[in-house]
Amino acid sequence: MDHRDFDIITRIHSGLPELEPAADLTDRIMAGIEMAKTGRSGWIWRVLVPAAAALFVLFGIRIGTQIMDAWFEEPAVVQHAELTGLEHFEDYPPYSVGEVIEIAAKGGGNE
Amino acid sequence: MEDDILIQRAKEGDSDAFRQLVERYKGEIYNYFIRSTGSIEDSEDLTQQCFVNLYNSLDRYRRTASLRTFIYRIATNLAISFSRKRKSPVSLDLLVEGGYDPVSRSSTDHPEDLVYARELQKAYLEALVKLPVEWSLILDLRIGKELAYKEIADLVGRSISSVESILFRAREKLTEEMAPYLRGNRN
Repeated sequence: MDHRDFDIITRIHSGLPELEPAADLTDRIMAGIEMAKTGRSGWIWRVLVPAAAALFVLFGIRIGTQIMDAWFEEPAVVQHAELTGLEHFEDYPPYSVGEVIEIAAKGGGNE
Repeated sequence: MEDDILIQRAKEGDSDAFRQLVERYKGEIYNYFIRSTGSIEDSEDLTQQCFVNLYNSLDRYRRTASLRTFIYRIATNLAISFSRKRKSPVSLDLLVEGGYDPVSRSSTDHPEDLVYARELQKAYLEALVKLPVEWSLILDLRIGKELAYKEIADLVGRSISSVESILFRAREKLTEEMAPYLRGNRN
């Protein structure tokens, strides 16, 4: 390869014109930097918002569970009160075969 | 005002100080991208990204290297990364339409010479953007920006001998591409 060719290449490269950037390029760059700044503080929102949403959902589930427990527990409490109010338990449920047999055994049937 | 003072003020949140740095370096960075991408639009986007990256890495900037070198490092990384993603071939038509006048720095007033210079520089630029982007960047850093081999090696993360080798191969390739013009030029 001829050394003179390299010199010519160097001369052509050195002579390449410099293109003037668009007049508003600085403004666009500064706008980009403002966006980057927002983006930088934006990560806080990107973390905080989902975290707050997750907390809200968890709180909702907790409250919902408590409400449901309250609904289902209340009749149980009433039933318990009723049960404790009874003086004795029947051996067999009323009108059951067991009760009929018991009455018959005691001789209290309608004969 | 010196770069270091502007950098310090920019670190403290002074936007005007950073704007002054943008004004100072945007032209040469933009042309650095033009010579590796051959596209006005891509060069504007890359210049914008370069300064956004600079802003985001102000805290990492140390006075051991000049700000210019620091900016060129960011620009070089961006250009190499961009070239890896680029799929479409480079066309200089948009560059010429966008106002790129290859003879604007020519000293000749002869119309024939002007036409020849225009043709020569356009052909050269076409050959330049066809090179692997790292080659054209290294060539521009050496010939266009007149950086030392050591400085270029630091910028592109290569050894000095590797930079020398790339420079040789880049010139060789350009000489091949420009052979018809070079023969005419020499006579």
